[in-house]
Parts: sequence; C-alpha cells; structure tokens
Amino acid sequence: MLKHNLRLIFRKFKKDKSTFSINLIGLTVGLVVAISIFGWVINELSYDKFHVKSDNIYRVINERFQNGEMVQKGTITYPTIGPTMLKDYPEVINNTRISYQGTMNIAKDDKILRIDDAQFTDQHFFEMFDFELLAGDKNTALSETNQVVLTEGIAKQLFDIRNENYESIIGESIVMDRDEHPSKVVGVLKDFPSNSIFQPTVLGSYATFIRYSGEGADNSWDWSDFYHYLELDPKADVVALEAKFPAFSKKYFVDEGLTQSEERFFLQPLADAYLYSSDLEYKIMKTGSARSVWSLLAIAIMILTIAWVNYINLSSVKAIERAKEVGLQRVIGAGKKQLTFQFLQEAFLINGMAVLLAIPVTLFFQPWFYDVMGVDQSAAVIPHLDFLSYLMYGGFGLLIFLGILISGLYPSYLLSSKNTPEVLKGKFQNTTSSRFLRKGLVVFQFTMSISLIIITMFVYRQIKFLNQKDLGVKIDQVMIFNGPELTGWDSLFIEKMNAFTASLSQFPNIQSANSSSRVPGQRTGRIFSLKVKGDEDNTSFMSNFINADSKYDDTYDLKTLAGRFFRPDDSNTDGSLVKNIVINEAARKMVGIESNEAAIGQVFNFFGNDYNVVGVFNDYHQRSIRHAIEPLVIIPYYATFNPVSVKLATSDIDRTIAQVKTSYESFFPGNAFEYTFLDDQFARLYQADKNFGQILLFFTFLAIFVACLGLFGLASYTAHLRTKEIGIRKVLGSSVSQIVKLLSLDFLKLVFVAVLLAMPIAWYCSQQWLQEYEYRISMEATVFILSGGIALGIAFLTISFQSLKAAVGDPVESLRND
Amino acid sequence: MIQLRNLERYYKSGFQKSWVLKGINLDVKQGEFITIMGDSGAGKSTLLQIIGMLDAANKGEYNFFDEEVHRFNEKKRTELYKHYIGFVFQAYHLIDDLTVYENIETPLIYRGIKSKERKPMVAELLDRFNIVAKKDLFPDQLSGGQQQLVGLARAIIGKPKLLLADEPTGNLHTKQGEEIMQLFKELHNEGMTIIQVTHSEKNAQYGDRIVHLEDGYVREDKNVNELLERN
Repeated sequence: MLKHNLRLIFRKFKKDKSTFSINLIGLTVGLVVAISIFGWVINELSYDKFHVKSDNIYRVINERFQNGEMVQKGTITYPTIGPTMLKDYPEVINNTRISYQGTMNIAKDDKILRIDDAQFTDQHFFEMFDFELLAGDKNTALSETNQVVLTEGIAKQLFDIRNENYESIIGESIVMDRDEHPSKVVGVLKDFPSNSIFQPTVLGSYATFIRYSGEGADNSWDWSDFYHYLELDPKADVVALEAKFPAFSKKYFVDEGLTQSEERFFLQPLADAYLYSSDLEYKIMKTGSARSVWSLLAIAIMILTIAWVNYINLSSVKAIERAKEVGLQRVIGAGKKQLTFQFLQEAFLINGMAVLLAIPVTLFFQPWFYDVMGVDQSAAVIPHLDFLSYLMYGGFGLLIFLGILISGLYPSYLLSSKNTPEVLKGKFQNTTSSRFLRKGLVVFQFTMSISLIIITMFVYRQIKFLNQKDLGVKIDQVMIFNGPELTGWDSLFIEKMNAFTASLSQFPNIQSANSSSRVPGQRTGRIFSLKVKGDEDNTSFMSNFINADSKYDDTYDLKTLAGRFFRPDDSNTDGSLVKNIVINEAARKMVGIESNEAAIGQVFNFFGNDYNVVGVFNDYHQRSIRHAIEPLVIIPYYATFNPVSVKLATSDIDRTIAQVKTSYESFFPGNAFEYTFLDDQFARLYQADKNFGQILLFFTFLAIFVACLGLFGLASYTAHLRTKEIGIRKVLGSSVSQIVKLLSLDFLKLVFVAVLLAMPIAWYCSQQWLQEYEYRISMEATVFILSGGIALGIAFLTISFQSLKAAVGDPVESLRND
Repeated sequence: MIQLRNLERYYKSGFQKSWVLKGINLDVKQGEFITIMGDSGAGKSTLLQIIGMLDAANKGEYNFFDEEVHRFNEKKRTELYKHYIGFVFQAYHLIDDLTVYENIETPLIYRGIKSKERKPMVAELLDRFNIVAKKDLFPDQLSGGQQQLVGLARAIIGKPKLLLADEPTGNLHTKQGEEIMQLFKELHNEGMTIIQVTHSEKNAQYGDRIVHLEDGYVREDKNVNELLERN
C-alpha cells in the first residue's frame, strides 16, 4: 500500500513539475525561515535560565519620582538596598551587589591592558549564579579586599598561560588603574556564555571598591550607582514582598527627605532581565528585545502558513483533474481511509522533502541571520530546557504537524466526499464553498504579505529618520580617544590638557579639540536635587550633567543662545573654586525661568555648591534620537579619564591621526591611544534597529515570493482550464489585452481586497513598533498607497505572465484539442 | 443473487419529476450473463449504475445476497466493491500514472493482499490476456483494445461474484470488441455473473438473457434462446 502510493505520488510529482516545484520551494523557504528564527528565539529565551537558582533570583528595579513625574527607571540604585532587604525580609535569603566600573587599565608588570566592562562584586555572586571557575575557590573568591577574578580571555592576554593551566596564575598580583595596592588573582572564570546578561571581563572584589571609593559605597542612601540581585526563598510570595517596599522607602528614605525624590522599588525576575528591559535606564548588562523575538516568530509562522496555503489552494484547483482518478479508485475497492491515507502520505512526503532540503539551506543561511541579529556565534551557549522551551518545541512540532495534516486532509476531504458517478462522468466541479475558501486563502496570504510590506516601509523610514534627524550638534569628522587615565591628577593637569588640545588645534587638518566627561551619544550622570536660589517652594529638579572644557562648543558646534560659553579660567584644579555653569534650554524651561536671557546670573544649587549660570545653549541630543531631549547642565570640571574629541578636516585623516597619536604620547606617556569616530559610535546606537529592518525586509521579500509562487500556480492552472473559452473569445474577435484583463482581473480583485485588509493591521502593528521611539515618523498615507501599489504590481506581473501566455496562444489549436 | 423490487429513479426539476427508471423488478441468479438493452435514454446505464452502487434509487428495494443495499453506508459499499463487484467501463478508466501491471494489481492492494501473493495473480492474468509484453507500459502507450483488456483484467483480478460492464466495446474496433466479448463468454462459462449494457445485438448474443428497457420500464425480459426461436 505504502509503496504503491509512493509510486503513484512520485509519478504525479514528475508529471506536474510546476505544482510540485511551487509547493517544494514554498515549503522549503517557509521551513528555512521557521527553523532559523525558531532556533534564534529558543536562544533568546534561554538567557540566564541555566543557573540552578534562576527562578528565585530577582533584580532590583528602582523608579524615582519628582514633582509627580517619573524621572528615572533603572536597574541602578543605592548600595544599601540589597543588604538592607536581606536584613529586613526573611523571604530574601541572599543578595549580591555590583558596581560597574566600565573601562579600566589592568597591568601585570609592564604589560597594560585597557579593558571594558570591569565590575566589582562580592562573594555572593558565585553563590547565586552558576558561572564556572577554571581555577580558584568559589567559596572564598572576592570575599576580601584586593582580590580579582579574571575571565579566561583576559587571563590569557595578560599572562603567559601554558596548557590551560590557570591554577598557575592564582595568587599573582595585578594593578588595577592607578591603585597603589595590587590585587591578587583569586580565580579564573570560564568566558561567560553568550546566553547570559552578564558579560564582565574582570570582577574585582566589592571590598576593594569600598576601600577605593570610601564607606559610601557600602552604606550610602543617596549614592545611586549600584546594581542588586536578590535570591528569594523558593516559597516566597514576590507580590507580597513588593507590597512591603513602599514602607521600606518611607522608613529608609524618610519619604523624599533623603534623595529629594520618591523611591519606588520592584523586583524583576532574572529570567525576564534579558528580553524585558528595554524601558530600563542605566543598564550595564546585555539586553535583547522581546519585540523582535515575538514579531519575528510571528513572521516565521506567517511565511510557513503562506506556503501551506499554496499547497491547499493548488490541490483544491487540481481536484478537478484528480477527481476522476479518486472516483475510480473507490470503485475498484479503495476505502475512504485508504484514500485519506494516500493524500496524507502525499502531504507528508512533500513536506518531508522540504524538510530535507531546508536543513542544509538553514545551515547555510543561519550564520548570516545570526550575524545580522547580533548573536555572538563564537561564544559558548549553555542550553537550558525549561517549561517554556519545551512548550516552544512542542508548539513548533505541533504547528508543523498540524500544518501538514490540514493541508493534506483538505484535498482528501474535497475529493472523497464527492459522489462517485458524477466524478466518473467527469462532472466534478469545484463547489462554491471550495472556491470561496480558495479566494479567502489568497486574500489571507496577500493580507499578510502586504502588511509586512507596509510595516517594513515604516521601519525603514523610521531608521532613516533616526539617522537624519538634526542632533543639534555636529558629530561628523569627530575623532574620540581615551583620556590619559594612567596620568596622575595634579594641579598642573588642566594646564597640561589645555596645552595638549591647543597644540592639536595647530595642526592644519584639525579644527578644534577638547576634553569632556561624555561625548554626544553617551548617557550622562544625573543631578537629582537641583534647586534654584530664591525659589520659595525650594523645589528639587532632576537634570543630566556632563563636564566639559571651554572648547566643547567649538568642537560640536553648540550654539550659545544667551550669555556665553566657558572660558578657560572657569575651570580650576580645585573643584570648590569652580563657580560657573552653562545650561541647555530644556533645563532653563524645567526650572521655570521665562527666557534664556533671564537665566543669566541665576544661581543653581547642587552637589552642595552654588553655581552661577553664565550661558544658555541650544538643546541637542546628548543620547540617541530614541530618547527625548532632557535638561542638561555642563560643569567646567576636568578629569584624567575624560575622553578627548578632535574635529578633523576632511582630508588626510590617516596622517592627522598619526600626528595626534605622537603628540598624545609625548604629552601623556604610558597611556594607550585608542580612537573611534563619533559617527560610527552613533550608527551603532541604531544598529539593532537597522538589523531588524534588514531582516524584516528580507523576510517580507520571502513572504511575497512564496505568496506569488502560489498565485503563479493558480493563475497558470486557471488559464489552462479556460483555454477553450479563450479560444472561443479570440475567434469571436477578442483582443489579447482584453483576454489578459479578463484573466487577471479576478486575481487582482483579491489582492485589492488584501490591500484594504492589510491597512488597518499594518497600521496597528507599525504603531506598536514605533511606540518605543520618543521621536517617530507620522503614519503617512503615501506609505499605504505605495505598498498597495507595489503589491498589486507584483501580483499583476505574476498573473499576467500566465494570462499573456494563454492569450497569445493559437485559438484554433486550443479548440481543436478539445 | 440480486433482487430489485419496484425500483424508481427520477430527477426533480421544479414540481416535475422526470423519470429515468420506474417500477423496475429484476431478479438475477448467480451465474447468469445478462444484457441490458434499449435506446439512448431508456435508463440502461442508470440501472447498471444502481446495481453497481454508483447511483442510488429514489424508491424501491435492492437486495444483494439478501443484504439490503439501499440501506448501505459508505463503508459497506466499499466492502462490496472490494469483494463482490468488478467494473468495466466504456472509457476504460485506467489510472494514467500506473503501468499495466500496477493497474491490474491495485484492487489487490486495496484488499490488503500481500505483495508475494499478488505477483502470481497478476502474472496469471497478464498471461491469460496475452499482455505480458505490455506490463510495463502506461495506458497512453496502449491501443483501445489493449486498454480494455487491462480494464477487464483489473475488474476480475479480485475474483468478483459480479462483473458489471457499461458498453465495454463501445470504443473499440469490431475485432477488438469480439476479443473482449469472447473473454466475457469464457468468464461466464467459468461461472461468473455478468451484467452488461450494450447497443449491439451481436454482443447481446454472447449472454443468455436480454432485458429490454424502454422509457424506464422493462419492456421485455427473455432468454436469448427464446428470442432466437422467435426470430
């Protein structure tokens, strides 16, 4: 039976190659997309689930409110939060805190490494998280001052390690930045798996950080620069625990008495940290996007469904041809079950062939896809199968099984329910319901494809908008390099830095150079209790701040709207003598000063000092265009770790960079020179959006391709069925164009209905997608019209090829054939 | 073997019924070779289709080996096709994508007969019908007569009790037709019950009883010998 059916099915495939190829190609494309995306989704969902205690670990989220408005929502908070919660609440059974240090210079003898993502944490880190130590003792590592744990990669760069013998460096001393006390290597971590939000390079002991930065790093209630993870009792009620936090804030923060803002705390499950953190500020961890995960999964299912719909549609039109044979099979003794089995076998066979084809294609396609999606393919992944991933696997398997089952059963249902003699007499006609279903399915396919076209267009327009929107500062041709982090701070530093930047400006290809704590595109620090002298309500405001020298405005083309920008003598190596600040227009508006001119001479109080406002400058995007412009205060402080910005002329860039490097090394010997270009850095801020757009475009193309394959098959078969009619019409004097119109119009009507249906769907989805952007494009009608036009155009091309072929055929020939 | 009682078949158009068969009473004994004759539209094909369960009567009884066919469901019908009835069609109705051998073999597959047992059965028929050389050809590579031989072989491979033939020689040359009819006769001699529909007086002579239909009624039901005597 099986063999007999297979023989029959294979001969059918061979006989009707076009239907077979349409089905096979469509299903293969659908499966390649589905398998690739599915693999990626499983990876995205696996973040930090491999820790045994994963389900019981939570991250502390801190929301800060001022004057009734939320001014910050982030994972960043005070150093006391975790330990105090551990002390106060029995359901909290452990906690670990992290201080993010960012770039550090670590040195072994003469060898200096400039590393990113250095962090300080305590011994509880290893109690809570399951990261593997290649050497060292998990129980004692990071428990004392001057201890450091290196990752495998960093250890290899810093030490000469032979045969993976990491034990050999335990107990060795290294110097971190300019710390006069060397730190002892107490452990070597296996490089972090790529499916973890934690990606530090070096972990220093928290005790070292306290020694370095003072007791405040341990017991401060107003220094918000720390990250906490809590381990809860498995039986703990998280909601009930969170309900206790308002009382916690009231008790420890004396309402708003301590930080001038209302402090609210929440717990975020560790398992959610990777995907559901897009609205959190001051993240130091790797984050993904749930939005991308679920939307791409939906697209994968869509493309696969479009391919199955092709199968259903083509088999239902072919039923006319197939009917006689099925009727005959019944007369010679085939039971309904046997026939159904035969149809299912056919569906499983073609899907099976598609799977076999899809596997190698996926292996070829997936690396590109992962690359675009920013998956680090070189790093290890610790797989973890939890309920959700079982559910996903089960769901995926079920989806494929059901897809095959339904697409296989439908033609069988259509044919085996027919009356045999009619079928044998060749009287089989498609019923109205099957014709309606077929049309409905074509509309469904095109609704999905057109929705994708519209959404892709909006995504692309938004990305273009992000790239083109005026930042308020000029960032092109600006080179950034690290400040002299290893040079000591002394009373001469400011003069030295000024001399350095002045010397750079002497080069013919350099327009300006300056030093500042942040460059545009970077997030800034925040002042939470900015007050205006003379304000009767004594209101606290939140403002961002950066430190910059007097040439920051030249380098970035900042416009002074009132007063003046800094002069060199506004700065002083003695911080207490710094008296003047400049503010942006948003800050001026926030504190309620009527005009820019009126702001000049006002006195602001923060950080325990009074500052005179000497200038107001234009609002510009300090962070990316994703974020709203916030109030900004610039203070003329210097620091050794402040990066240097250099505005270059367009010519001879390589030589200029070499000159800058030489000059830097002579001014600040012993420091590394690592440079980037600011526009590249900015582009990186939108990289994820751009990648998403690229993937979306590609999948949209595939969706349309598969839908058009089906349409092509339908059109060619319909034209074939109507050959005689076309012949008669031509004999009666119909023109080719009239016939093309006749054959195309039916299908184009369907696509047109799909355009109408796609509009509200795409409108809603695009709205949702754009929601994440502070500045977004409007929903222009032209996009909808253009997309509809493109879809109709592609559909018309697909159909007209077949229609034209039928229309130009010799009518006599087609009539004689009958 | 078969009893038809007061069988009626009509089509409704509006309030009017147009009758195809009316008051048909027919008894078929095992081993008979019956020819149904009549003018076009007399209802002979419909009668054959009702007997073959390709069509159903609107009224009346149909018993097959004492079973009430008019009450059969799909499953039972399939059972009957599998074990009792073989069909031969005017247009042959072979499966285009199967070879001669496979076409003949198919009914056995549906009956669940193992491959090992199928082989000698198919081989025997190929041999008997002299089409061994054609066994790997597809239907469109055969002449009409050869196709009908395959159709007949397929119909009888399951050793049915009843062979139904609707104008089996209608599309064939005289010589090919004679060959087919000769085979029918042989099968009849071997004891198979056959009912055929034909226009040809000559073909009717191969059987032993002729049922003449006229406008849906049985006009005459006579033995071939009786008819010969009368002429």
